[in-house]
Amino acid sequence: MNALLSALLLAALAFGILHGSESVTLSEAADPDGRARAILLFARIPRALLAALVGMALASAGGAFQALLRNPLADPFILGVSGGAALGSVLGIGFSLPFELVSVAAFAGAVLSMLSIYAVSGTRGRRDATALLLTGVIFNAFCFALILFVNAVVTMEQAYQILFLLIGNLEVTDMGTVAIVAAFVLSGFFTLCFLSGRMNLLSLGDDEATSLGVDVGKLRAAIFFSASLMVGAAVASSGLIGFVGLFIPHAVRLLFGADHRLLIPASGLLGAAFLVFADAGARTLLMNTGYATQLPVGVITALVGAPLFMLLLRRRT
Amino acid sequence: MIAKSRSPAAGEEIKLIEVGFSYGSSEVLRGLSLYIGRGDIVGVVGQNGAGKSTLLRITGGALAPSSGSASLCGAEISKMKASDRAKKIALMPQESRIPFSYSAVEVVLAGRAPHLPAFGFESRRDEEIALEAMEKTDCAQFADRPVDSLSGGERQRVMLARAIAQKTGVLLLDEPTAFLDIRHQAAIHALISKLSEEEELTIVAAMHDLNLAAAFCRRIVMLKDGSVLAEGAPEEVLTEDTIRAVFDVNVTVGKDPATDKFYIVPTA
Amino acid sequence: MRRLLLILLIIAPLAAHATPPAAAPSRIVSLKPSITDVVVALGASEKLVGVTKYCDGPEGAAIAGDYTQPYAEKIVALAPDVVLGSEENSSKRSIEQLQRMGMRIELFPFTTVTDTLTSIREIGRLLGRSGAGDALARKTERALVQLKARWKDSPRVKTVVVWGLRPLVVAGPGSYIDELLDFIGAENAVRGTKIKYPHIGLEELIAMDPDAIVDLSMGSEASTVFSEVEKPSGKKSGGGPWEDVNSIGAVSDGRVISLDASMFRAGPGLPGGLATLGEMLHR
Repeated sequence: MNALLSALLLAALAFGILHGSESVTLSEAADPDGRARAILLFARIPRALLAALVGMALASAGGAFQALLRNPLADPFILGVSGGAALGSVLGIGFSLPFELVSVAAFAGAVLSMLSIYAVSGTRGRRDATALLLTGVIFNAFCFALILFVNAVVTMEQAYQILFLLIGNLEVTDMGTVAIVAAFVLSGFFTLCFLSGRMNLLSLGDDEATSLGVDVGKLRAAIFFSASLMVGAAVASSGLIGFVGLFIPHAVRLLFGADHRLLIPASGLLGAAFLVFADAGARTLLMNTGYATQLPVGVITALVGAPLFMLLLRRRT
Repeated sequence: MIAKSRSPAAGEEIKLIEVGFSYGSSEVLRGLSLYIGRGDIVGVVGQNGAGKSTLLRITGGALAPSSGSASLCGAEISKMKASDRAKKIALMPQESRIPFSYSAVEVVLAGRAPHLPAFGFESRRDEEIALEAMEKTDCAQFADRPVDSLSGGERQRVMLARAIAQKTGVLLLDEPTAFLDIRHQAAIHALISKLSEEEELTIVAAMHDLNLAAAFCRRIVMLKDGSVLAEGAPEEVLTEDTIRAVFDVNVTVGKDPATDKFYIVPTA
Repeated sequence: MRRLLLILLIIAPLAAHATPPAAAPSRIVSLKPSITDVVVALGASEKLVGVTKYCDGPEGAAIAGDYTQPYAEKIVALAPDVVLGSEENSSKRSIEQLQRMGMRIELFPFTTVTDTLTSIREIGRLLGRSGAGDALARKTERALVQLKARWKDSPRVKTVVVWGLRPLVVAGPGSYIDELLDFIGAENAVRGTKIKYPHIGLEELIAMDPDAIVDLSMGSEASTVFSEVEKPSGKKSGGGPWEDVNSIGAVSDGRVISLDASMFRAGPGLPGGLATLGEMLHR
């Protein structure tokens, strides 16, 4: 079944790389100086790969957080790391840092928030799901208040950049960024897959999990840190792309059941494929019409995802 | 008031010695000492909030005692490696809120987790064990139904099946028959007795129903104010005086001449 | 009786308009840098009591607004005779608010060259300096015509004007800058869209293959007037965000021109800014 989804992902990547507003064929790409090769190397491939990585990160982190918090409404942004990452980016933009440093600032924000949230949510060794959730939610609220503050005092151009970041975007041109994101996302993803069996036990309850042999504190920390690093890398490189992290794990649950050993890898693969398709749509839907402009990818994920999800729900019940 | 503090006999499995526990600043257990032998069926009774669940959780390793020691065959329970402990002790909680739509058999299969390798799936043998356990608790018929579509009683039987599927030497059950109808209550208690005899399982059950406790447990432990007020055979322990002391209610304790089982009934 | 009513109905609006000619305003607030430029060029800078954050106003003038938001209370406190603004900058709501607070507001468009020239004249008239206003408009017009003639026979330079990098927003057909490119022998490589400032992707930019890229993304905050990207083989100075995309001819040939957008502000300074850009494009 995972083989099926992997095939889907490869198909999505092929589509994302070869499809665009400019027609590009592989034979044209053979020409080293040609436009086609430039388009493939700089515009298509990095972007499609980033879309796949971010989709994988958000969907599998979403599923992991749902298990961690025992709450099907959790999404990858709920635990506050995204707020810190967004704040880092916004501060980077506000201080007019060059773009590479903005991403670094974002990731630094993610790491700092991850550590703070973890530290603050533990009280005398009893760190439970509710404490983590509350800390994360409050932290997010605080970060977003700061973001709005910065937004009010920067120039119009910077404010527009901030908006662009907050809606989420997959524009990237260099493989270096993609490689770094890949390092974080893939390591986080494989860790979560490895922990997925224990996620089943954790979702039954703290006491139940303990009695079934799980070190709940360590598991919670492992899930929190690996998923947060993935989300941090995703937000640092592409802003806040919504809906993927919430919708994909649920879709997988409706289609394949709730066993996390299946859910986590399947969410990762399906999320990756979904975002590649969504981004291809965002890039091209309006481009060949009279309006010739790109859409934010978050628009596509929600506009397509919501009705699809409704369909799935009706099929189930 | 019968206060017994006898010294442990040889082969005693579970030893709780002067166990104390506080949630934050509220002290729930204090100076609690208890010895439970292999193959015993022990019923723990007491007021709500007297510490029955806490006692089970400490014995199960879910909580570490604030003071004193809780050991199984000499090994301190809270210090055991979680995976080892899970092969020896199974804890069935009072109620479970499962947020996802696992099927009933998936929930029971979770009980096999301690016996699986790190990233492994269940084998055919594990599935057989799970189904066997479900048959014992009469819930095999909803194996494939999502667990959140089951009634409270059905869910309870599923959780008991999971504890049984864990194949441990010790079963700690928190209100195992609380939501069950009388037919299932009888069946479950018969099952527990059978497991104890045939497989020499040690069973400790927290119960609120004194009659059931009296009928099916070999020993009763009465908790009051966080420590053991009395313990021993049901007829010795469940007297009108002790019940008044622990539950603050007047009862009549009698013996049914036909079955030779005794009953407890509150008097007006 | 009905006829009397009819006459009254016709006279009433005329009567409202027949206010005595106002004396030339002596206290002016400007809500747009272009307007400030015009007032200063007409020699009336000492009358400016309030300008926006981005204006090049006289030293004594207070800050009365930013790009789109007039500071209503500040303006009222300055007690100006007139507030000069434009519809394209200030929102209707803020204009109405100022009117409700008793301010006199006059709006002047600067969206096209024609509008700019008209506005120069109108502002001159308002300030009681019609002669200077007309002269300034004529001078500006003449300078623009000269620009057009200067590069009439040069090959047209295919240009993309970039307003923002992330997102990549460019000037499309019908936008303000689009019209200006025509004056300096350049043509806008961005075509076929109804949107004045479309957000395009890198691949569209590569496909357009422009001869030159004008990067105005530093907005009005650019600290340097201009800098050019040198060839990747040489020293990189100010290459910045364009370094990674030397697949585009314009980038690898060092034809990315980074400028301060305020050089192209509508108004009397426009021909000078355009001339600079034209020289760089046709080098």
